Amino acid sequence: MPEHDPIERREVPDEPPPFLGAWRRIYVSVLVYLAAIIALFYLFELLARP
Amino acid sequence: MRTLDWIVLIGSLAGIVLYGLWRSRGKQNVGSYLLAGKTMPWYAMALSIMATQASAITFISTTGQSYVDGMRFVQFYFGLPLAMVILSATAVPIFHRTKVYTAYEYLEQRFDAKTRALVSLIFLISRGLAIGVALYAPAIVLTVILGWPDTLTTMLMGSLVVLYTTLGGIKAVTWTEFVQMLVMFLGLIAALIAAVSMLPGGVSLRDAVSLASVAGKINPVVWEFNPSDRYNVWSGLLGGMFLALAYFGCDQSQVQRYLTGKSIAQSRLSLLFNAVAKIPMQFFILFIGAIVFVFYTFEKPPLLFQPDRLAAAQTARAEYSEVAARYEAAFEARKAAAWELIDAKKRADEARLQTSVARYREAQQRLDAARADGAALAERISGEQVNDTNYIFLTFVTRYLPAGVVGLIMAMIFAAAMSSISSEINSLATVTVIDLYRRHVKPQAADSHYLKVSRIATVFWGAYAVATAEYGKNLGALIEAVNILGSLFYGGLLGVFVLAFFFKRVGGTAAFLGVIAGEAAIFYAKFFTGVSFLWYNVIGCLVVIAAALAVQRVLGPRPAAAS
Repeated sequence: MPEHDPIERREVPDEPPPFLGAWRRIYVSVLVYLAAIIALFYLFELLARP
Repeated sequence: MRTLDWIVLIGSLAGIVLYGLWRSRGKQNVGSYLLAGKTMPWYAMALSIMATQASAITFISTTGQSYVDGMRFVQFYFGLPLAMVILSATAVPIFHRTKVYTAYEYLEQRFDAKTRALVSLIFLISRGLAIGVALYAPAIVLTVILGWPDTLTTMLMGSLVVLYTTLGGIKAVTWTEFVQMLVMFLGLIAALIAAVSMLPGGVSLRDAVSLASVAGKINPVVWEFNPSDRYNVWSGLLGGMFLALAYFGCDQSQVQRYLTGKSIAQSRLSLLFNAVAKIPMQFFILFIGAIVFVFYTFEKPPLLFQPDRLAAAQTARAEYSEVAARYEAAFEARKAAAWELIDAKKRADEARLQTSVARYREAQQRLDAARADGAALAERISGEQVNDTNYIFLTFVTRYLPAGVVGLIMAMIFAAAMSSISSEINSLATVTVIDLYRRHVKPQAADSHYLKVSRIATVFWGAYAVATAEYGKNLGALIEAVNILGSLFYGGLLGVFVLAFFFKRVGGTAAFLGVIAGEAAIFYAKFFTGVSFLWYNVIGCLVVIAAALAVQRVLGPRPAAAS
């Protein structure tokens, strides 16, 4: 890497998520959502049968 | 295409480009040109990520795939939310905190210059091979369906993309993708509404879903694990997760989208939005295909949707007439069974319902057999493969949908093509300038110099895309081969990033040799075994890790890890 870096390298902040208070809870929610959507699709498949 | 369609298409394309240029106005430097000065909100990045992934063929082909094979393709995306959670927890904060411009720049911080150079070259080769085809692929279909010269289509798309990508940099790319994705959503909603409204009187949406179900098209969840079956819940969760980890975590065309975020939280939200929205969107596209299938239960579809192959089959008059007669009879039988099924369902006549289901399925099998015979005939006469799936949706759109809607759906397809190409050009230029030119050719120039070189690199990759797209017309069936060729490289990329994030005791030389070993293993699997290309990611990733750990063991602990 060049010793002097002529291009701008901006630092960005880390922030808590806008809801649920912690990222861990958001991640768990996404996984629950995935399980729910697979279950919903399966339910749709069952209900679609005449 | 009628006048209103042209107005909608041209208006949409011009509006998208002008909006992107307007949003990217103002003084620029390398930071704003390549990373938007890290000012992007999550929603712009989220739709940009989604638009980058959605190519024209996604919309053209996915609907056709549902028509032919049902909705089970949606399972391919089940691993995506898992990958997004992993990347939000690992790659996003690491890339932001190390203040890199490219994912490969991080590899020099973590390993050494040679590993960074090797992985950058792998990215440039794999993406460079794919970009011309990405530009040319939609032109093949548009040319056959609409009669437009392919040169016109590729030049039009290529010129527009190069214009706003070169002038506005990633800000223009992101904001145009934001609007392009909105156009895609609008086009999809219009297509579904139009498809449902085209169903004959007396056929409700619920009836249509039942008919699609009886034909085996409503199958979004397949629980049985079968390693030779590409789409089931388990292959979707595992294989899909590996693919999404490689694509969103190691491919600069995606990493660069979320590196523009104004905070780590905004970048995470953009990925997590995709984790939530991508599966329903794919479900929606596949559902349109299922409804189009039901529409063609009552309206006779052509024996083959690919017009040039159909014309080839028709030249063998006697054989074609025999196949066409069988096809016609099977279609009429299926249509009659469908009406009977709907009537039996309304009257709650269980015995008649079962009979009509059996008759419907039997007629469907005869119809499929006639179609297969028609395809075999076309292949024998033309000497070329029939790829009907890509033509089903566009045939439906151009023949049956009203004026204005056709223009909107064409705008959707152009938007999808342009969004994936602009991101690729943008990322190829970034890696060329940051990882090669600035690192190895001219390390200490002024910011304005790198900005100028970035613009030149963008024009170069845009021109390269148009030039290779023109060459792509001679590739024919090799388009699929080029896609498989692209998958030869993802396993190696994923492996080196897994090493970087999770194996602190592995140093640069071990990682470098690990990538070479991983790529060698993938190429061996490709040319000397019958392993499906979907497994290349897993093989490459595991071999990179194993080989690097073995080499590091021989070399001894690296200084930083030893201390």
